[in-house]
Amino acid sequence: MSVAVAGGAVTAADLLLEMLAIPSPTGSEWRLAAALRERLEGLGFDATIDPAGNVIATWGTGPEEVMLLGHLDTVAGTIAVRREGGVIHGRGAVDAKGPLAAAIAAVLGQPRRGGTRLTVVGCVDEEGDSRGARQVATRAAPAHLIVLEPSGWDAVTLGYRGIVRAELRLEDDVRHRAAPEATVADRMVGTLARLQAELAGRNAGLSPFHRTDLRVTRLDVTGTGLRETATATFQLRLPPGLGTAATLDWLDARRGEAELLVQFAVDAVHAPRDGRAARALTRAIRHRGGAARHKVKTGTADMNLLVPRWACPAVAYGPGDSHLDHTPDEAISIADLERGAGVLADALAELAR
Amino acid sequence: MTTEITGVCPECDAQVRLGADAEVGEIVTCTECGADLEVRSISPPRLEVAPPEEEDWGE
Repeated sequence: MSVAVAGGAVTAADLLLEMLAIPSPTGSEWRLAAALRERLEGLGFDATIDPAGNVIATWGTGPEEVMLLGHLDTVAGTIAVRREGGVIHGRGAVDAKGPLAAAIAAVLGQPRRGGTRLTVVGCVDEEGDSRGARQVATRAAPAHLIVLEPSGWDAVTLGYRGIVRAELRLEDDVRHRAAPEATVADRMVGTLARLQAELAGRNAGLSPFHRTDLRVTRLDVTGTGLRETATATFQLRLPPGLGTAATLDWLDARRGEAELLVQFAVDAVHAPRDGRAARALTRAIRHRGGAARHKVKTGTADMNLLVPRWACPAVAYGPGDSHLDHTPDEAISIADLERGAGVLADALAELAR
Repeated sequence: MTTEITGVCPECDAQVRLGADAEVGEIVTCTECGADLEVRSISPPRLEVAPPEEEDWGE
């Protein structure tokens, strides 16, 4: 999909290569934000950078807002940016500069006059604690939200599990290692094993999206010689229907002497399959020859944070294979990127009707 | 005048209203039992239980 603009034509692939050329790991998005704001202004958007560092770009002035929200940041790791045999390689090609580039190209093809105002948002810190999305959440709710994450060009993501990221800390006097008492590390491992065993019982027979999983991401013991502290950092992924408040009560009742420090908590989201945005996207996929699959994902995205605040209809969509997210092989097919831009363009046109 | 199209929910036999622009392949929800249904034909209207959502990981 090539969109004519002042001074030539621009494609999603062009925009993606420009964005990939500016590395933007979480916490270092400012250079990309500045360049993208300027580029979008040049393409005819009204573009600003908000207090969190997010790029907010508006197209049209209609009263009904459709927001296309992606993220600028990527996980760490350098992948040589290159276009080879119809494929674009680079960190963030799939997660999620590709979907963001597709959305920008799609919006460029929409009329600027009419009842709809299209807002493209490039958030910071999506791979961190969603500082960017928290800032965006202070805005008025849009009529429709499309979160730009890779679902594959022919699929729409309707839901994500929730998450609690937290730490357990257990401090005690240092004991001789030959003493009969358990160390703080032993006790911490025992607590985590009990939590995981209880969840395993609860998860029996459930599909991955409906399970509650506890994954330990870091275990550490530090000490002064007289006292020592075991720290476990973990993530609990939560299915729809299991809220963060109930989960924190559950953890609190099982933490024993350990201190519980919650870093981040959002509930699961699950949109209906026949909502307007989901319907517009699935129709657009079918019209372009795709089977239009509906997905739910076991991970978490900015959609989890925004939907409860705004109570607006929301889905996630974007070209790219999310199995390549965060891997050294991150790359996107240009054909899929362009198909994704076309699907978004058709869906935006339908939402504007 | 637009003629209302309705199909029958295969789960609970309720009448399910389809939009005037409904297409084959579209998913509608039965307002009686909540089942997700796929439009398999428009004329005559025919609904079947929709394939389940796919589960995937990512983000």
